[in-house]
Amino acid sequence: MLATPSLAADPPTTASLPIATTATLAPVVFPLSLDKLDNGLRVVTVRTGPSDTVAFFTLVMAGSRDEVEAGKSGYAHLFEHLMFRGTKAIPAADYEKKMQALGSDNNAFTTDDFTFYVPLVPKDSMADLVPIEADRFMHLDVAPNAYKDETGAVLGEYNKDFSSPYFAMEEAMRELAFTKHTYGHTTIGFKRDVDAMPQNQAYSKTFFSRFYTPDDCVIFVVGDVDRARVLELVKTNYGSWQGKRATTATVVEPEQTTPRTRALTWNAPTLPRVQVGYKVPDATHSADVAALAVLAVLAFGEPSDLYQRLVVSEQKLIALGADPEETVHKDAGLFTIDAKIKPGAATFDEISGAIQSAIDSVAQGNAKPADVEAARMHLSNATLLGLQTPSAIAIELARMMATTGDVHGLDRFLFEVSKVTKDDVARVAKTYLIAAKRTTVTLAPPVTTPAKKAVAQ
Amino acid sequence: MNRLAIALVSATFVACAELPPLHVPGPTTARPPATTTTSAAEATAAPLVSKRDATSKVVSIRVVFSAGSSDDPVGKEGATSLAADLTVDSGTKELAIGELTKRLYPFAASISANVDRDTTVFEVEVAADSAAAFYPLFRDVMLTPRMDDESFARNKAHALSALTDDLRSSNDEALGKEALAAMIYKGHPYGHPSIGTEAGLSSLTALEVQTQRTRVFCKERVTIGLAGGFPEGFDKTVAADMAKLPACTGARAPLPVVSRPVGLKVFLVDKPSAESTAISMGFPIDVTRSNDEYPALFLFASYLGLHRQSAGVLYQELREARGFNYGDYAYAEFFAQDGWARYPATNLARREQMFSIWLRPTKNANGPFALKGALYFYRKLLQEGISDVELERFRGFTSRYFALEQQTESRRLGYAMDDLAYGLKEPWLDRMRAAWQSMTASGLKDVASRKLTANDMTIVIVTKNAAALKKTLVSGAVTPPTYDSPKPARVLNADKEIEKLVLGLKDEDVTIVPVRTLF
Repeated sequence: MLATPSLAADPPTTASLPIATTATLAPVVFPLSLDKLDNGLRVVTVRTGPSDTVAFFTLVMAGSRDEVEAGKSGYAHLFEHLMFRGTKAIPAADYEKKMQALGSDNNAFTTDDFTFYVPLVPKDSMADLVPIEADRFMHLDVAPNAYKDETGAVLGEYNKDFSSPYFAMEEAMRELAFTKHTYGHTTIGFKRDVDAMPQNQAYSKTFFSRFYTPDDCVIFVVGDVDRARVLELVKTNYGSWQGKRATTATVVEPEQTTPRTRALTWNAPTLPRVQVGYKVPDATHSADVAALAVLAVLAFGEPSDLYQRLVVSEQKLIALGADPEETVHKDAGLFTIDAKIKPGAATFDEISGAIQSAIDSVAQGNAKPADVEAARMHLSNATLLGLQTPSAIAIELARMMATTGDVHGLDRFLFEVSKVTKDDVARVAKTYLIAAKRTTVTLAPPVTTPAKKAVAQ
Repeated sequence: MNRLAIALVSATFVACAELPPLHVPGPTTARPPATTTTSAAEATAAPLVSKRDATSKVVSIRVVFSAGSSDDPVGKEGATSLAADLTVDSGTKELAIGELTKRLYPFAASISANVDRDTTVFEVEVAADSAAAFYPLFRDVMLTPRMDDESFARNKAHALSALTDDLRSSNDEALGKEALAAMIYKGHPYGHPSIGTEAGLSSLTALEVQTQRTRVFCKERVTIGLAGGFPEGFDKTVAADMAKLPACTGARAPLPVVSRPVGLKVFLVDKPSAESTAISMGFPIDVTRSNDEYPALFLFASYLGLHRQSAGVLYQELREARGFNYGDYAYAEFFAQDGWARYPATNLARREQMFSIWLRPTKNANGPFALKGALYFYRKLLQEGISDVELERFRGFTSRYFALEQQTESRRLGYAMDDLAYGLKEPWLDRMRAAWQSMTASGLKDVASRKLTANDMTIVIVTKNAAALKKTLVSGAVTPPTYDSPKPARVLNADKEIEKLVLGLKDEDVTIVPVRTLF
């Protein structure tokens, strides 16, 4: 078990804190194994012990960051849909029925950095699932009409998201913060590109051939499974898969040197919102990323001074938070803090100023060691409590592998978290969370007549 | 150097690397652990559902009350929800909220409260080796919440924000579902969102919310659930402690009967900012999990549109074949998703239930056709039933699929507590599998035709340009779809029937409701 530094040297802020801080699970990691086929396909097997279900999930190391051509955003996510549209051997309707016969919960999701296909099946269905999965990855064959229908479903998904002001803010934040890098668009893509998808099936095939290759995929098998049996099944069904991932040029984002701001007006009643984003390093900077994740909960979590002041005591904010997961990106990305303001209680400047002041205080070394410790414990326990199912385990392992390139990325992250000190959080605050690397987006309700949705003022 | 550090330093990214095992909660099999249930009559402790598994590294605690927003006093809609919010978010008699938050934080054991119409659950998961240290905080939250004026003002503002800012303004899908419930149960205790109404929340005082807490989160309405790796006897301690809740001051009011409309009644929620058209429809049913017809109705609804799965008829016809939207589903009881998972949240037991169909947003131009399409395929299934072959295939799927829902101790505990709430002796999945196994196609069709209706239902459409849509619907005009791609003859032939479907709507059957007046 990972040793937890004693708090004895640092007087706790409350009498009971030392008891609370002993509250930890043993630090992570399952007995995972990593195997590689001759064609480059990797297989991560995690034997969890008794479980009625098996996650047989396929990670494709391509997400919306890999959409490098202008006008072609959203294709990683489109493939998340197209992969359910069948092959010559197993047309879509048969695929659906076969997956039902297995009793599967079949889905997929896409992020900036990767796409993950996540069929969960009863344990005794795994052997029958493997050939069906292999077939769609190796022989996807989408008829032109089916392609167009699926682009309609994607547009529907865009429209679903579009009713949320958060989505408008995310779109604006990305576009403003990234001038060159593909993190400049959301995973679903720009609306204009989604609108153009029905005419671009030929391009979609190019995208598929670039990234849906054995050397760009990792299969995660998690459950009560036997590694030798898994490997036998994978080799039999995926052994003939050929192809090499294409090299695509993801442009390095030029260093941001001045703060950027954009003000949006929503065309319906809303509470004023502010989002502050900072450029943070890629996930291979494991110590810095861990320190930033700790800082996220230390400076903006519920016990933080800022939250207690603005949300609990002064009640100027309805919500304040920063997601520690957002510190983990394959390329240098964005770490964001969100606040929702009680109408008339505070100005945008006051809130974004308070956010920067809270960070600056950490940068000046003012964080209390006991609070850093509590934040570390919270982060570790929250992660570990989330790992109760084969699906959850596979998703966390894959997310960290896709972003760090390391199959042990999750272990490393938690290990680094366990070492974070107040000096570490001060260091990352001083290095990354500074005005020059800051982008701020605000969203306000309409003042008089409704303006066009989410336009810059 | 500790073991993990050694592993990290030595592990390289090579084929066939194997690491030593470490310990995480991990999944457990759905084996039937020892379950004990005691009743209040047997002891002074609260009723208890206990599923101890000493090998588990997690402890799940649920405190469930037979209380919900249907207990809100008239004009004070939101009282129960706010009482639950304040219970978990106001501190305790001993600790102000700031102090309590600091103490809870390292455990990452967030105590959540969820209020539905008839059921409220307080829930937490904590690492097993921290359960003993954590529990006194949980106990004090449940028994002696501070509920001070400052916390009241904050939670009230948050509830109003969730209602007006999130529900009305930011999420058309949730808006449609809540609006449907509001229209089906108009004038009924289920007729307002569990979170409350703007008028109700605005009128509530701290004292009224404190009173509501002692009135509904009281001893005779509570059931305790414990699962996982808790120390022996811990469950009994929790049950005995929760018996110290205040005594209930009166019997629960019975629900009035809710009737179905005659014919279709359409409510157009006029939302100028809506970029697409979201449709929900449904009607009350006299079947809950307590009834023998429930497994058949549940299978029928799943066949029509299993939540967020592609298995259903509606999904296959409206999304897959026609590309209208992002998904189309049907439900034999009230459904709320468990977080981001596709599975239903537990501890939502209701005394009355509704059957509903939900179409995710379509392009505005296809709204009328999508509505007719959903009615067409639903009515067709109701009329023709499911073939023997399809029934055989589909029950094979559901019998296996629904086992996937119960992977965690917390979810299994939730199901077990729901079984108790509905007075069921067998676990939910065992009962469903057994009923499905002996079900015939004609038996299924018989239950569906007896318990469901083809014509008498409420329809809610969230859209902009409601006036124009009303005109189209009332005119009885043919409303052909628009497609981005050519369609096969099978689809086009069916479309010819669907676009002409007679809704039989008169002017008075279609009501325009401005979004700002909802709730």
